Amino acid sequence: MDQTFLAIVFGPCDKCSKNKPLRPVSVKSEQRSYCSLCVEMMATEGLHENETLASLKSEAESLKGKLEEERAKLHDVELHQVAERVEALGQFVMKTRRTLKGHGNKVLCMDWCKDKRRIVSSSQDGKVIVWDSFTTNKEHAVTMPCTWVMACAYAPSGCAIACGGLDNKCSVYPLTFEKNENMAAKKKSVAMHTNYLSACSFTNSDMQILTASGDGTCALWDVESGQLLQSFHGHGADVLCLDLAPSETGNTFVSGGCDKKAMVWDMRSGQCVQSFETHDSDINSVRYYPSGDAFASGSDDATCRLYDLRADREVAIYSKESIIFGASSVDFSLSGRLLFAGYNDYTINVWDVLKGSRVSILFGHENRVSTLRVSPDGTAFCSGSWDHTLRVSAGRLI
Amino acid sequence: LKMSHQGLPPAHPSHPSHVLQIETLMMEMQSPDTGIKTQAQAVMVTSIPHAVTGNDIMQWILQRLQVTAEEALHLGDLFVKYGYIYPLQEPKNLTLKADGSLYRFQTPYFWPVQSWAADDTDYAIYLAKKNIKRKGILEEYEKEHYNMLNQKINYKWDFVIMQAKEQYKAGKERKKEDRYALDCQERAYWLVNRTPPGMLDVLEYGIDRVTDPNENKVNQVRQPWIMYYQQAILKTRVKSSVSLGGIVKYSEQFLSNDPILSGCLPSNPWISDDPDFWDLNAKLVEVPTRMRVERWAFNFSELIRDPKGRQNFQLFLKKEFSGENLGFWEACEDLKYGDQSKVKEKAEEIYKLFLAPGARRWINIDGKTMGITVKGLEHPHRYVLDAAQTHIYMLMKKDSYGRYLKSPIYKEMLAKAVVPQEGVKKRQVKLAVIVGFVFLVVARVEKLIHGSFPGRREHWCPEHGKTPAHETLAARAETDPRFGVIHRICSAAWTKPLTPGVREGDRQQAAPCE
Repeated sequence: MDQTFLAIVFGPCDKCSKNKPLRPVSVKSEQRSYCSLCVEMMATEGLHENETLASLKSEAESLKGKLEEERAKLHDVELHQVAERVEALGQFVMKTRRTLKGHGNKVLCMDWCKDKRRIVSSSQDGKVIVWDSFTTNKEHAVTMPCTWVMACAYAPSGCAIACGGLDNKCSVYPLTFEKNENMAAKKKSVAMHTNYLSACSFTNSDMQILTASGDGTCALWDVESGQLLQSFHGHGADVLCLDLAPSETGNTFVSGGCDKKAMVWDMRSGQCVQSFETHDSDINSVRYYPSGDAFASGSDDATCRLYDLRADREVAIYSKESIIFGASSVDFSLSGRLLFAGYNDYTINVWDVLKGSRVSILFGHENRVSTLRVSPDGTAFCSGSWDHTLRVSAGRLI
Repeated sequence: LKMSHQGLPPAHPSHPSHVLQIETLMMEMQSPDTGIKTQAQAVMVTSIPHAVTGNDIMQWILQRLQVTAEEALHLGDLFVKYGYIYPLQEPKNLTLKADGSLYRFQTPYFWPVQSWAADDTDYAIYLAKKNIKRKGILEEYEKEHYNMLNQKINYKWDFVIMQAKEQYKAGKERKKEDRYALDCQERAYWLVNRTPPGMLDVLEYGIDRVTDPNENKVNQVRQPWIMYYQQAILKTRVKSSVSLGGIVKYSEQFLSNDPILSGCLPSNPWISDDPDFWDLNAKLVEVPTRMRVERWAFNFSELIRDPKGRQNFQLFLKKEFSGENLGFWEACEDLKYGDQSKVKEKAEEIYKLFLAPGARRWINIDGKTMGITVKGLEHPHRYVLDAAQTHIYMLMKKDSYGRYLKSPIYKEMLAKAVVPQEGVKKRQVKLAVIVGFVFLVVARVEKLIHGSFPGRREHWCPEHGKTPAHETLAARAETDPRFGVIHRICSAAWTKPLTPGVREGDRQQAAPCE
């Protein structure tokens, strides 16, 4: 899977003449290269001559219509048609293999360690716990100074975790095995947003973190210095989720928000490269298909959807009349054939990604499923719930 | 039953969209044509009109939504928890029972509407009324609420008590069955809106989502949207058949590697409690598994992503004298994702090592790319080497990778690769240990009773060591490998004495076989 590279042009800005990384921009239908500061200024400018808010909105609407036309031109087949030749899946038996009890309140988020067995989880009462979920032992615990820790992530090295929530920050805690470890003492405050932190993820190293916030933006940060490396503006409302593309060649990530939009960003330029607006309500979760060529979303409109990045369109909707409550969290199995989705009606539905049908429904949690991730080697998935527990489930087709 | 509304309390955010769908279903459930047939049902000695059984509800959902009984029950249970249906017989327990238990549809006035919260004043009136009806009937948590409200809205308290008395009087004038139903109705409403401690609070929705998506701001219209659309229209797209074909193909290719769909060898650690699978697939394991090595041939990304694959690929590249390519690629990754403060320093090092004329590990890139890169290095930033990195990545992918897969280095790795046996071993040993233990226990008991081990009483031959039981076991072991292990353990049990002395004694008693 090839991705075209945007070689970052570095040179004099067409507006301010300063030497900076440049972005292509349309000014009065002409292509220019502006530095990101000038782009921002242009964006926050008031109306030009002969412009009214209404005329701008109608221009945007007509352009949007044209985009949909372009997208439709190359749409020659549906996913389920291409998938006709694929063998149907058989019966499913998934069981809870581990139940992790220890949080005193709603579990809001979890993430796997690359070692395929450790996890970090965070909850409403401010507690963040690191578990060896294979043995169910708690290995580390820290209490955040805020409640509603909605985001947590494990560092690629396994030596640190990041978390944040109503404190509007993302903090990094190194994990040590020293006796009398005081995790809070080594805490590093990295990200600062102007509203709650909804999601965070390390990039390919322990040194960089990507965050999403209720303030409507995403941002890339340098962990060591806390410096803001790049910010991503474009969502018209709270950003609720993000996921990094798995590819070695791309440097993109996708985010979903309360504006019902899923947006794909170029991490280097801060530009939105693709946008999809087909959901009817807030998008709670986004996750890339393992090849990086597509991504799935879960929304409060009770549907999950698949978007094909190369065809640049939505290609599947996973829904059923009996599924009424919102999907809070989605993730793919290793091959991408299955999509696991946790819902606000306490259940987990398993979808056949290619054929569009529901393969299985899993009960067990006693309150909303708020977070769900498949383990790095695809042997199990972990679900966290408002019922204070986390469950690791595994099984197979029979 | 009137509720007083002292102005509208603050609105809840309206984002849960399940409300509309549930309301539609509720209306259908009660419709005379398509809904559930209600009838008067006896609760204790009262006949309550328009009641339905839990089973009716479950069956209706099952038929209407074409789901399993388990799903129908779960969904129906949620309807009760959310207060759309209330129980007549166990009013405190908001669950759906798929039997003859009786329920009624909640009046729409009491539906959990997200646009206004249940009023404190109304709650105070309800509690006061309950208290008037029967003193001391309030639960602990209700008493707490009552006292708290007394303080909070003390200035309205006369009004509250007056309303409570009025409602109580009006209630007494109703028919017994109406009164009972209305009591249950009201009780269910307050269970949902003022959840008792320990019960699920279904109206909890998390934290408020902040930004209003409907705000019209100039900067949100022009940028990114107009700019974005202008660019997006010009973007190159791929035909659906091509890209979807790719998605399907990927899934098929990785099917055998997907543990949930195809299992994994020797076993899935979460199911067997045996972490062997993880040990065999450790990051830089000495001998990787066959599946893992085969995966490196799927595409270049799979090879380079796996540290073991990368290690093996590097060996090959060294043989071809292009090891610096991978080295350069890794250095670029480190630059992109590393410490921001070291960017300038790292960029300079990379230039000296890989790009400068006469550099020790000089990489071969075309003149144009070299030109862009060198110019960019005048003002180094994290992505300054992107063009060069892409070029080298493509070179490795399109050129070296193909040759690598045909090389002896890869082929050797593939040949050496291990194929784990299915983890019957652990189960087998467990089974054998249990059975062997049972045999041991039985043998000891027999010894206690008869004074010697079973089998030794009969022909224990010092040379052949055979007994009837032993023989049967030996025969079985020939056909069934499980018995082989049991056989070996039992043999050990039978030939192993409790104490050295016992053996001598036994031997004296046993007659040699002929």
